[in-house]
Amino acid sequence: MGEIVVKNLTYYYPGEEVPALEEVTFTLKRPFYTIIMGPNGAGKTTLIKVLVGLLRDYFGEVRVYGHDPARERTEISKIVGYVPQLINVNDLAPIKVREVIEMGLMSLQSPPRIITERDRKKVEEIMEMLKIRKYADDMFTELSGGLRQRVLLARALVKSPKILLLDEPFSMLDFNIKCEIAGLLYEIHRDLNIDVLMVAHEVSPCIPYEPQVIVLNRRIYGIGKASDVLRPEVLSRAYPGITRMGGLMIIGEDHAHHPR
Amino acid sequence: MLIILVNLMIAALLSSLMVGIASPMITFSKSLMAGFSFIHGVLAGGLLATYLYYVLDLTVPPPEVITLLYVIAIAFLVGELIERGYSTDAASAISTSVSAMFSVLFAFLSGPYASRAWAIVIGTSVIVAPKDIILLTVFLVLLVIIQVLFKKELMYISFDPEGAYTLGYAVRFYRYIIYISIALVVVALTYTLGIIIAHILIATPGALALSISHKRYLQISILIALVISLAGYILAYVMGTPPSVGVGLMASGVLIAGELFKRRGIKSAQ
Repeated sequence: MGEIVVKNLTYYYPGEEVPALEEVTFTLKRPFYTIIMGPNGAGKTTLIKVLVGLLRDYFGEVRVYGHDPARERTEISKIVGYVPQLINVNDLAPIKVREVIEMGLMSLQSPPRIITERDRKKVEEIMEMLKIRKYADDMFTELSGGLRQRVLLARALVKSPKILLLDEPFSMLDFNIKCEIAGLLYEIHRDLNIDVLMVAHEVSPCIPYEPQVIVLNRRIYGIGKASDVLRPEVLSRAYPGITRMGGLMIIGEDHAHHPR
Repeated sequence: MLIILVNLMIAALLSSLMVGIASPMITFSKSLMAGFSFIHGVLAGGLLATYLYYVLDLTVPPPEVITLLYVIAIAFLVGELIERGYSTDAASAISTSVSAMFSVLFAFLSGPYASRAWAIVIGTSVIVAPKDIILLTVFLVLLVIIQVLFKKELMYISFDPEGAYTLGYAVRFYRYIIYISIALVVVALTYTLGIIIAHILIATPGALALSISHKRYLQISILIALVISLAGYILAYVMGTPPSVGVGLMASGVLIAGELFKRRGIKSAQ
């Protein structure tokens, strides 16, 4: 069952009267390299958190490769490699790059989680693949944003997931680094046969890889190939802060409201 | 006189080791506010112990154990509130108010015996008794065992709690392990050194050590705790003030000196 199925997903944050997600319905069949885009507050991160099992009190039906993320945490943790936003990681924690990656691998073991020679080799292989081996004994907090993103990606990959769910992997990065990360994700998708679903404000770094795009603003406004979805009639409905200038469309960073 | 001095130094050494080990974890797990609320819990737990011991004549378990159990209960309250979506600050504030209420209640019920809890506020380290040394040693050993057994997991859930959850780690369980460690430290510190010194000591060594070096934070934290405690006591003795004055002054001095030696660097792939 290589697919993500979301049917009529509605989610309210505690105390909120307006839903963060409203009647969201879509299906992704593997293989997929997909971007969820939308304005600030559109529910992109909420959707990722539902898929990964961090938010459970939702309405509707969600299946990730046949498993319910709200109830089958163990299965989901085996299938999914989650990469959080860099801003959500604690900068005070004195943890080395190697230890961050081991965190992914050790999750497959029961306490006391002893690192074997085989584990070390696997960590080395992943670091080699993502070109971060020379930073292995550096502290995570000493690294630049692009390197940190690679380390978190390595942590997700080391346990051989079927799908990567990434929350804003391009945030706080220079454009060339964004393109580098987008390319790396595509290589992972193509060479390792791992599906990729990421949340992003901008899709331009991924455009060369012909991604599938989901346009979200609490509801789904479009889903399909980038060339089919990134059209004025779709974007102008999903982005309230859109401005037209001659033949150009300028998308502002407006906070989302539900366009009527 | 010499025995008193030796006992005082042993107590300072043991408490420094406890603080040196625990303070960085308290800082990087962002549990300082919870730690402070547990210190308030020690006062309420101490007054509960006073009530049970002096008014109800219950001699078992010892007051320190009753206090520890109360603080662990408060730790669970904080943990459960966080689990239900409250921020650490809000959960700590709520548990502090619960402890304040119980402090007043048990002080009222204890009548004239309530004044005995004053020792918890100011500490008893000027006359360190052998039982204080035993208490510190037992709590230090428990802390070290916890740290050795769960070092990796405590780091993982502090570094990225959501990521740890999605990887399948029992974040809730390990959060309680952190809080129980803090409970051990604050009960031992408060019973031997007093509430005021406990406030100074749980925050400064770890926060400063982590701002100086992420690689050698543990050694630096233990060193800072030792300097603050030992030099603070000597300073207080020389000035003729209560220990908390000397320890507080030393903490401020070490903080300023540490800021002067700090350095930062960021590596990028370029």
